[in-house]
Amino acid sequence: MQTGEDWKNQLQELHRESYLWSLSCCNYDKEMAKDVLQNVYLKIYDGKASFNEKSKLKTWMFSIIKFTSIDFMRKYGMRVEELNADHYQISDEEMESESDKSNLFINILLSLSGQQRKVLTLAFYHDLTLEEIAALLEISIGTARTHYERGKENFKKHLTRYKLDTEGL
Amino acid sequence: MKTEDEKLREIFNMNLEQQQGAIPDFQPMWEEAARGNRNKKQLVWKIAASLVLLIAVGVFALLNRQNEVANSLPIASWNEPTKSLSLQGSEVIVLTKWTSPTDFLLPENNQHTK
Repeated sequence: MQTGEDWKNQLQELHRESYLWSLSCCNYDKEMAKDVLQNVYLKIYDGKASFNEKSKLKTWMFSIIKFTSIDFMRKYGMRVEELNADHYQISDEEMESESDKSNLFINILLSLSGQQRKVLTLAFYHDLTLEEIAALLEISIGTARTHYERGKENFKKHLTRYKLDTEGL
Repeated sequence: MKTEDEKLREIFNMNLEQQQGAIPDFQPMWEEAARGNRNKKQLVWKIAASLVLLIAVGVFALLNRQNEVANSLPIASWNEPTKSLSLQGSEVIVLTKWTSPTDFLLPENNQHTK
């Protein structure tokens, strides 16, 4: 039986990854990502979201973040399809003026489709397996694999084009 | 020799690590959630208390109204205020029995005139 303090400690350990996943779900809008995560904590505190231990704590937490971000997108009048569309194109001027590699990296991620971005972030940053990613995004493993392969190709193309640390790729 | 996936993992880690400064602290967010939860509970209690108060006032008003109706005079027992003038005790003055004091002067009533 977990105490409230154990529970809080586990959420605190996941906090960083939770925020980064929230960022990815909110198209890297920092304010919205923070609001989404705050709302997720409130849901957990209220008991509206309860962990049944059928999945890993991380995938459960990520799933709540995903659904909460969709609610927020709808609330702010954004169509959910926008999340999965190629909606961001990096201009050459933007690339020239871009000195911060981190922002460049985010812009490259944003130039991918929503699903490709999510699959790559979950695989390469959050270390989830394709099975876990498919379950989290509620897609088949085959679809997850397709997003993974195409996402990787697109990502590598952008990396080469914008010369962001591509050594060895 | 690193595989392609390992290199991509490195790039993701290196670049997302740079977002560290933008990550909000956990503690204030958790406390905010706790505060929000308390406020929500308080709001629920306030609404519940208001409803109980409204129901109590409604029931009180209804009972009060019912008592007023019960205490009011039923129409069947109403008497006209001047009823006492037409009654003398329980005896009703019958006008048909009334005779004039000079009635004996009339020929059909006066036996002496015959």
